[in-house]
Amino acid sequence: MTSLRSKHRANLCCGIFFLVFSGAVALYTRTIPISSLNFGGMNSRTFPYACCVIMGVLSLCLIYQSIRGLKNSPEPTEEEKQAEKAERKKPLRALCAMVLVAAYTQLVKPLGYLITTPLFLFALFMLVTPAEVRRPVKQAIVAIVVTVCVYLVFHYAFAVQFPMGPLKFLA
Amino acid sequence: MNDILAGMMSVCTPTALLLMAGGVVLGIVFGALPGLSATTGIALCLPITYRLGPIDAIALLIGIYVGGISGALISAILINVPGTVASAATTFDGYPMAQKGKAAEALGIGLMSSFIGTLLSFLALIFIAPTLAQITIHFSPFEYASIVLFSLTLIGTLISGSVVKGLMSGVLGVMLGCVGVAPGTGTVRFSFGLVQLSAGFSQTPAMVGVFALGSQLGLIAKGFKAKEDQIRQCKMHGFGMPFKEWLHHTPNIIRSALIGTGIGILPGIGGGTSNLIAYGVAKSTSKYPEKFGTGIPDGIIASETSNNASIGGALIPLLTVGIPGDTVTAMLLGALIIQGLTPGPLLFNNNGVFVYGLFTAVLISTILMIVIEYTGMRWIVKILGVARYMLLPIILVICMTGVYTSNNRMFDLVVMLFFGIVSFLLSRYGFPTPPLILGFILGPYLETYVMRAQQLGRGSLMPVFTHPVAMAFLVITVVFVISQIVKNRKRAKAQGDNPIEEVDD
Repeated sequence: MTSLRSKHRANLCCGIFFLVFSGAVALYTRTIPISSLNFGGMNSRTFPYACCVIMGVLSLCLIYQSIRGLKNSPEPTEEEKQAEKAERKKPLRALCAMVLVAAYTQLVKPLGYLITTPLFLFALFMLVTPAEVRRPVKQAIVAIVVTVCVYLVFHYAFAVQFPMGPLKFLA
Repeated sequence: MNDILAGMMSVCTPTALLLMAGGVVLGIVFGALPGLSATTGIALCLPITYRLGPIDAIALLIGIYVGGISGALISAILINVPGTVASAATTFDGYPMAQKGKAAEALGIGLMSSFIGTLLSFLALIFIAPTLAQITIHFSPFEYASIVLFSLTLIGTLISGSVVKGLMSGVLGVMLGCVGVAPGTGTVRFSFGLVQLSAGFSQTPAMVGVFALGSQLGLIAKGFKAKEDQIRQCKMHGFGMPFKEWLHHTPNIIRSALIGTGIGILPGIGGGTSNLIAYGVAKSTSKYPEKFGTGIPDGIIASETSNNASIGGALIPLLTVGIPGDTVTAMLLGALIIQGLTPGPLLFNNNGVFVYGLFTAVLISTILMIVIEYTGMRWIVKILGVARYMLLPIILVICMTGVYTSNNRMFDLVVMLFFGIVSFLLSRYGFPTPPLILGFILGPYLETYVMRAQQLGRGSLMPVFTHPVAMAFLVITVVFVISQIVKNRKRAKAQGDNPIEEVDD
């Protein structure tokens, strides 16, 4: 359980981020070319610009609420501080998963679907399975079987052409 | 009449029936697995629908929808963890009943209530939708623009405790929807020189990113236990109580179905809210409110009838106005667009066969749901015994394969990853994600309708005052936002804190 104070702090950071983001987008909208087509005063810049203004106002509201909350909320207890420490470590695993997905998107074309997918699946298994129940050999077999099944279904039932990489001769 | 018959026949083909049965099974499993939902199931199958015809595609997705809402009751009753929020209230009486050794009875009652709820909402759908479509056909861009605005605001404010955060998530979605060709003018915006972005973000990878990857990243961050709560063995016998007793519960059933359908029609608040409201109403109107929560059928009936009744309700605005009521119907909207169909009043005139095919698919899926769930409970329970740390990576791979196959583009996987990360980060900091995706889908519609309205008003939006329906929606939107802010402030004052209310992780 995280403390109220850290929640307000997170909200404050979010508010500032979205304020800067909306400002940057608003500036960028000025570079959008305007078409000669007339829509009663509206052009291709109007709508995104309006969104930026609304987002900016909402961000200011969030910042205001967070500052007020920070003033009123008590200091976190020792228990809450410990919980926060543990909470901070949690996204690491998700970050690793994101890196895996990103690597997959980059490797699937040169290495091919049939090589990249079992590797990705196996890596994901290793990442999410608790250490005490990890069975690398069994999970590697599952990764290969699942990949082959998915490939066969999509390739033969839906006529999908997958990137094959070095295994081009199998296609 | 010809359309009705042709529509009914169109879903009675072996392919459509098989897809519906498969969809129902998948939906039940996804609904029952905590952390997954009908939305994830539809996200998984959405890319596959590219390869199917409109009727087959919608048959599969409706099957998942119906199965997914009902399946959540299994884990709610057996392990006290609702598969989805739509069955949260089912745990109140379902689990105590299971603890008393009446798990099969509780499941039977839940199953029959789900069946009746969907059936009653189906009746509402077939009677209300065509009539409403006849009215909405006369709507101008003013009405459409105000309805879209109303939907976005309602979703943003109702779905999360914090009005500001809900609205911010919705606006971010609208901003992401601005990427690509601007409606009307044809100008390319925010493509940053990438050819793949000139048509905007594709809907399928965006939705799979938010609902499959984003939610899975959340689960991965939380981590899995080596030994999770295992669902016990369960064999069904009967529907929990004799027919006479079911008759005794008729008022509760009808009331809960009306609550579910009514709430389903409102944008953003489907089964997740209706089950809690129906449970509360059933308790407050009961002659024995003190027994609620101890394991009585009334609570299960109220919860399960209402959450399933939301299905038909949520389909009404999608089909009649082309505006999705919740995340599942947003996915269905995407599926219809993929098939080249535009939901809205004209759908009834131009694609009558499809509409009645969809209605029939709801009915058949409901029947399949009760048959499959009843006869296959033993096996469904076994599937649920598979560890989630094994299931989730496999589901992710199928999702990613599906996303790739939707356009045969690697770039779609990048889009999926982008939306997945955005969704994960938003959830982590207490921003609800449904407004994001609904804003992303509805944003371009809002821009188009506002542009058309302004063109119609010759540069002014003032003619909105001459459109009573549009005005009514705008007034409701403003009143609603203000009332939510005031409500939050009052609650915050009572708690001695500020108005920010967090969404549970």
